[in-house]
Parts: sequence; structure tokens; C-alpha cells
Amino acid sequence: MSSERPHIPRREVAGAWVLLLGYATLLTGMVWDGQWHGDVGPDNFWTAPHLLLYAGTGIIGLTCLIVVLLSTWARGPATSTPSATVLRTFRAPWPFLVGGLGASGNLLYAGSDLWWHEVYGFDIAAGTTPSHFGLGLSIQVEIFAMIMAFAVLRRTRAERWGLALAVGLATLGSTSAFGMVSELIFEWLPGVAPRVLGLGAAAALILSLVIGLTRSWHWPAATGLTFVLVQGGLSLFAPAATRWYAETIGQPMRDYAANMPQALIGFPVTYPLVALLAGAMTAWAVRRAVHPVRIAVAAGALAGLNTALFYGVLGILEMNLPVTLVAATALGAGTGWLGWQCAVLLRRFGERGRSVPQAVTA
Amino acid sequence: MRRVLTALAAALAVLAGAGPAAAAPLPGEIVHTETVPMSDGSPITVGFTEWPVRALQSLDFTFVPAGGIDGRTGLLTTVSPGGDRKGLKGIVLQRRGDAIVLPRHPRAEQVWGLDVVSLPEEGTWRFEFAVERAGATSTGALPVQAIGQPGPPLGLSWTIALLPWAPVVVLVTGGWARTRAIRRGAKPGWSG
Repeated sequence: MSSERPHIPRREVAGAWVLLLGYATLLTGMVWDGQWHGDVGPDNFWTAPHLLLYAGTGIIGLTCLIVVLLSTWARGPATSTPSATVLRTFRAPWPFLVGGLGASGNLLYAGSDLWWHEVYGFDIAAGTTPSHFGLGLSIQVEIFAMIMAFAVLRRTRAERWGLALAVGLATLGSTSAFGMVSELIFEWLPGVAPRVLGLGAAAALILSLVIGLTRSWHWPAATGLTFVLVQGGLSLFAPAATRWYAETIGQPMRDYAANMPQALIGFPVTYPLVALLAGAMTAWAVRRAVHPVRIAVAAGALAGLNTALFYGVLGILEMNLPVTLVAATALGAGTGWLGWQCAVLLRRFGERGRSVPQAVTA
Repeated sequence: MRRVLTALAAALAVLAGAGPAAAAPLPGEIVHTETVPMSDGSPITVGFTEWPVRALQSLDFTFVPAGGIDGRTGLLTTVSPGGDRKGLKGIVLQRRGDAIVLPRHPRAEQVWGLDVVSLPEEGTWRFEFAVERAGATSTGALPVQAIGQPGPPLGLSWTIALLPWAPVVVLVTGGWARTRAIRRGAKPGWSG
């Protein structure tokens, strides 16, 4: 069995876990920032939530840089992780190349965001700004890098739980970029809430990706559990941290501060049920030898349907429910197929080095 | 003597009337005010932290009804130049229909206010006020001119922001096409 395992140097294993820590820090800052805007308001570039957000990006960027440098200088058997040679010198395993590019983009757009807020001020309700759009996409690239890093691993139970935790974080974290992109793409559709389509697509993509990567009922179900941990933890943290921070710097709460965890409405709290159902569907399909792509597509459709139902019942977004239900389910099915295709490619990452000797020289 | 006493009384009355002005909201921040005549004769003073108002540029508004906000409910409908009656979006706004139920300003709790908001559209906005007190409602309106946005044209900002993603789209699309054989050739089984 061990000779079948791909050769992943320790630097990449440790790097994956630090990417996870970095992204968890970033997401905590992002959710706290949203809560702060809603409950208190006054803003500048250096608020505590912003600092947490940029610290997370810093951790991701530095981790990727260190792993790339160590990979470049390493001797002994090469990593089995597909890598690229950058500037004819640097040996960069793909997850860390992607993560490094995402973090660099994040910092560049943060600079442009600083300029934007100096010129226009800090109203974030006026709509998506070019700098926020760039920030959202860069962060999404960092999310993909984190998932790639764990998709390569999956050798031990701990590493598979790492993937499940990364997916739990990614599910909540993908709301930003997917929401913004869908608002740009789908705004013309009458009766549809574009944000619902975006969040449904994000859930579908990630859920079917996990099904395709692990091919087992345990891990889609486990991502439901990790999602509960992430959403629950941030729902407890963000309002408490906002009250504490406001008191510390002497800012009053807004008159109509919702004072409820925004993380609970930022993504459907019913998603874990969909993850459990996807696990059950997978178990059934394994026994009956049902074509797995069908299950990925069905899980995606379910994720889209769930998102539309959740926001339809919640009533905070303007939409025609039947139209949005149909559109979100169809888009979820399509994105489910896409997730499966991505999983096929990511599985190749882990399979490439099965014949490479086990000696670790990192 | 009577003249002096009258003058003193008048001065005291002015001072008393000017009491709220002495505690003017956001001292040093309000750079312009406008007075909105209301149907009951009791005007509202609107304060601006930026003047002139530019489209898309954030500012704070304060709204001070004569006699203070105690016992009164303020409703503000912001009509955009294009006719959108919910033109001003804002964060955590309580609405009654199209109207914003005016909250106290977070940093000046003796008055109503909106902090860090912007008028997204250039042109003449119409702020429609309704103030409820003891079952009676007074109304008034204020035209607010939003001049052109600061900074470069939005199209240019968006183009610069999106440019770095063009090669990413090309690379991902190309990679997707190149890996078609791998994706099609993969066995769609449950093992592994």
C-alpha cells in the first residue's frame, strides 16, 4: 500500500495545513468585517477585521513562497505533485503556485482598494467596486489553491479531514466571488436573484468536487459537519468580536443593528442537510453501481434547489421564487457536472507519482 | 430700559432656540446645511459632510427637525434621478415601504443621520421627508444635486481591474480544452 502512495514531501504537507490556517484567518476577518459594517459601520483601511483579513493573505502568500523556494532547493526524489518551472529557475508545485498568485493578486487589489476608498469613501452598499471584485476573485483563487493542496494529499485520515475542513471553509468563503460574478452575469435575468444562483453554483461545485475526489459517502457527509463548525463558529465569534471591538475603540452600535450573526444568512444554514443527503445518495449509488456523474449532477441540482428555497423562505432577496428555483436547480446541475470534471483532473494530481520511491528528502 | 430688557429677552430667546445648534452634530465635519420647509412649519436642517455632493462618493447626512427628534419618527424616501424610490442603498436600513426609517446618527445620537452612504447616480435627487408626531404627519422635500463622480470614468477603472484576469481566462480555457482527453478517458467508477 505504501509503495502505491504518491510521494509528497513534508514541506507540501505542512504547507497545505498552513494554507488552511491562513485561509481560516482570512475568512474570519472577512465575516467579522461584514458584521462590523452592519452593526457599527465606521471604516478605514486599518480596522481589526481588515488586519485579520490581510494577515490571512500574508500567511498564504508567505507559505507559498517558502514552499516554492524549498522545492527549488530540494534534492532527492521530486515531488509527485505536478509542478511548473517559473522563470526557468523556480520549481513550483501547482497548488502553491496558484496560491502564491492568488495572494499576490489579493495584495495588489488591496492597494487599489486603498486608493478607491480614498477617492470614493467607504460606502460598500453602492454595489460591487472594481477593487472589491478583484479582491473577491483573488481570494477565490486562494481557496482553489487550498483545496488543490489537500486534494493532492488524501493519504491519511487526518489529511482527508483536512480536505473536509478546507471544503467547509471554502463553501462559506466562496459566497463573495460567486455572488459578485453572478450579479454581473445574471442581472439581466428577470425574476431571478443573481446572488442565489451564484451561491447555489458555489455549493454545487464544491459538493460534487468532494464526491468526485473521494468517491465515498463519508466525505460529502463530513463536509456538512465541517460546514456546521465553520458557520457555527463564525456566527458565535463575529457578533461578539464586533461588540468587543466597538466598546474597545468607543464606537456606538447602529440604531438598527441587526445584532444577529450575518454568517447565518450569508450561506444557507440548511446546506449540511444537502451534504448529508449527498452522502446518502453516494452510498446508495455505490451499492447499486449507479453512474457517479449522475450523482454529482443530482447533488449539484440539490445544492442549487436548497439555496433558492432557503433565500425564498427567508425573503431577504427580491426574486420570483418558482423562476429562481428552476434557474438555481439547472445551474446547480450544470455546476455539479463541472465539479465532477474538476475532480477527475485533481485526482490525476495524486495519482501521478504512485511509482515514485517513498524516500522523503524535504 | 424696556428696550434693553426686550433686547436681552430676545437674545435669551435666540440663545434658547439656538440650544440645539450649540450642540450641533458632528462638529468640524458638517460642511454644508440645507433647510427643508415642512408642511407643519417646523423645518428640518439637513447637514452634509461633503459639499458639493458627488455621485458615488461617501458622505454622512444629519437630519435635525426643529424641536429635536424625541417623540418623532422620521421617514426619508430617496428618489434617484432615474426615478428609483429606493435609490440610496446603505447598510442595515430599516424601511417602511420605500422610505428609510431614519436612525440616530451613530456618532451624533441627538439627531437622525445616515453614515457612510453615497448617491450612486449623477443628477438631481429628491429627498422626501415625512415626520410623524402624536399621530400627525408633516411632509417636505429637498432636491439634492449630485455632480459627476470623482476619479477616472468607471469604465476605465473596471477595464484596469479586469485586465489581469484576461490571461487567466485564456489559460483556464486552454487548459480545459487540452485536458479533454483526460476527463473523457477517466473511468467513471466508485473505486479509489
